[in-house]
Amino acid sequence: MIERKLLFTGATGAGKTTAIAAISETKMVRTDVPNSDPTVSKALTTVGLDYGEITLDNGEKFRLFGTPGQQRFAFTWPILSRGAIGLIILIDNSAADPLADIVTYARGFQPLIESAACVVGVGRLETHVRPSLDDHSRTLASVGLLCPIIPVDVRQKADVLLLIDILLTQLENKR
Amino acid sequence: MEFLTFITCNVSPRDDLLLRSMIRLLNGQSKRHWRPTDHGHADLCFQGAANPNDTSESALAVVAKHRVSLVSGTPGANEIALPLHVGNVLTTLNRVADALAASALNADAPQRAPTPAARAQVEFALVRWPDWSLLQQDSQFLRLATVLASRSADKQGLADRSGVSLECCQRFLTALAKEGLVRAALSEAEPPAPEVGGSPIVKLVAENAESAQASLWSRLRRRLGIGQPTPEARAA
Ligand SMILES: Nc1nc2c(ncn2[C@@H]2O[C@H](COP(=O)(O)OP(=O)(O)OP(=O)(O)O)[C@@H](O)[C@H]2O)c(=O)[nH]1
Ligand SMILES: [Mg+2]
Repeated sequence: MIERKLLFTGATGAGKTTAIAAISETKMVRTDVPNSDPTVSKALTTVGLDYGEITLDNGEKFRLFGTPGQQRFAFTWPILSRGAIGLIILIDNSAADPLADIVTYARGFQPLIESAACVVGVGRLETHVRPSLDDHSRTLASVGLLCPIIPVDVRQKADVLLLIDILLTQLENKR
Repeated sequence: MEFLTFITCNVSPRDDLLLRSMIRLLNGQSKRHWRPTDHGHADLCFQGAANPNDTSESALAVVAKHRVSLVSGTPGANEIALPLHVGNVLTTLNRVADALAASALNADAPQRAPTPAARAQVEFALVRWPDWSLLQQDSQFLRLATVLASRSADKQGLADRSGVSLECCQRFLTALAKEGLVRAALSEAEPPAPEVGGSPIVKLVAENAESAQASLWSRLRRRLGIGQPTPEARAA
């Protein structure tokens, strides 16, 4: 059975909550709490899942999930992947090691990426130009994956829509 | 890098231009590097029939180790079909490169028969995702890269699936080739779709799942107001 859901993943602060909120029609189920991790300068962080919904023209609900960002929740990734139409990986280019992040999520979701589709959005490029998008592309290729990689600011709804557009284009063109 | 040379004789100006630009594009994917030459000695001569009465001048002066004729019917050995197709040009270049290598090894060896691969179609595959600066050279390049990332294609296939013009696909492939981001992959002519299970019921279920997926994608597009599905998805 095909499920009607899409996954967003990425490290803490990459913008998963922001991206889902940009397109969800239901008020986000807020699970953000004050952040207690001193290494991340961020007031709120999501505990558990982000969840949003949009209603299709036949009345069906399409669900948007943000995976828990912290790697200690990696055990949930295969469960969440089941039946998803695809994956959007968000990278915060101002993080300590963005290239390590892209490898973490590309490897962690490899089965979904290979069986469905994936697109990578890299944020905060305006202030952090390195690593470049080409560096990200080479890194993905080095783990044997090829996904579209584009610059984004997920506070802009148009950028979130572009990510979904690219994901759908891939699905439509797969064998 | 050591390269091989080619020349054209009696080829119409249009096909001459096409051959040159295709070969330039294919350098990097072809087994050997090819360069045009304008003086009488070449490894390969593309022989046209644009001016059949041209018996005296440069045409006859060309000394080439291999000749390939441009023909408008079904091509035989040492012939290539018109209109020129980039895939056929690549196959020809590689076949001649192989033959030259073989004859260098054994001067008396007979010309090799075309391998089954010569009948396969040449498709282009993305090596990795192109840099953003390349994708910004044209408003269609992001779409073309996305389509090519999901599945390799020849130029015509890329144009069909993306709905983007052949000229633009050509510019895109050339830009990729310059950066070493595309490689040629041989694909056998597409086999007929395998029978799903045997029973009509199994087939129907598979077809339904497929069309349910396609309709989910287009519902999402409509709901989010993002673009048109590709021509193929629309036909589904
Ligand atoms: N300057 C800038 N800020 C951004 C960009 N993308 C997201 N942000 C901001 O960064 C913060 C990202 O936070 P979230 O959306 O909560 O990130 P998250 O992935 O949900 O993080 P966790 O829930 O902690 O895993 C928000 O304050 C956004 O407004 C960007 O491209 N540039
Ligand atoms: Mg969050």
